[in-house]
Amino acid sequence: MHEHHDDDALRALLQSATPAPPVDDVDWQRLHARITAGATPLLRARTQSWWGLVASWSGRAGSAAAAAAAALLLLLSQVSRPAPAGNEFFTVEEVLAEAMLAEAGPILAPTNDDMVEALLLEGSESQ
Amino acid sequence: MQDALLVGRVLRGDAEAYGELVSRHMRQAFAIAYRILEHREDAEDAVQDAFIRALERIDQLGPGGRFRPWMLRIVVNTALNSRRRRGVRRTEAVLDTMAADGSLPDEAAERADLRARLSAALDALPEKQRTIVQLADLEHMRSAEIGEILELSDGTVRWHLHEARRALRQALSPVREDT
Repeated sequence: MHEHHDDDALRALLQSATPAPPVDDVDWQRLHARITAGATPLLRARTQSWWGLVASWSGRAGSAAAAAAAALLLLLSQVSRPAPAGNEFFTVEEVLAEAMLAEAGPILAPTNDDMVEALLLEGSESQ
Repeated sequence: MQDALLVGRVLRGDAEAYGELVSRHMRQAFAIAYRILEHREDAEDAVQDAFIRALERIDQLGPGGRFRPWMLRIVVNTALNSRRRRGVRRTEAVLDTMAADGSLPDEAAERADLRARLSAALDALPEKQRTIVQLADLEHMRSAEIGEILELSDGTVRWHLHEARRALRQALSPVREDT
């Protein structure tokens, strides 16, 4: 308690004996202007680096978009390009039908029985 | 607008946001610099340097960082560096005040003597303790706030404050018996 009282007395003594900051003597507008003038080159560099960053990002994004567009155009040209003259042009249905027929090949191909029958026929004709 | 939002704009080079931060904090920055340097022009120079340094390092503040204590820390460090470099030019300030307050010659002499003793006692304190006393007893800052500025724990600030006051009481005891 006694120490707290002493602290208060010491604080009062310090405040009375120490000159207060002369806030009324400061030209605040001038100080503000000095500070902001000194900061201008730093802020300008930040603006440039910010826009540079945006520009570089937009540049990268632009390149990617251009590449994607080129790829899309190439793909579209391949899909819609008419079949060259002289070459057969198959529809999806035709390709599928051909694949099914190829799958059924072994069934349609001559069997051993057919070969025997052909040989018998050949033998009977020669007789 | 909150300081954090202004800081975000300053990071993108917004001069208006920076100007607003300066307007908000330059008075307290000046008061603290003045307490340390005890000279108006030196304090103004320190404030200017501190705000420029703050802008140079503003990326270090981080997204959740509080601008005010961070800024005032730079002010304290700048003013302390200036004080170490140039010394204190307080004599000028004391003479100015003596001439301006219009007190009687005896009172003025007594005050001048008290100021001289206080200045000597404050100067004799370790730098950290002197700064803590100035921020606590002259700028009315709480120990937690001082701790945030000086990057010390609340308890450490209180301990330094206790030690500093004890040393000042001892140094000023002959004066205090008279008053």
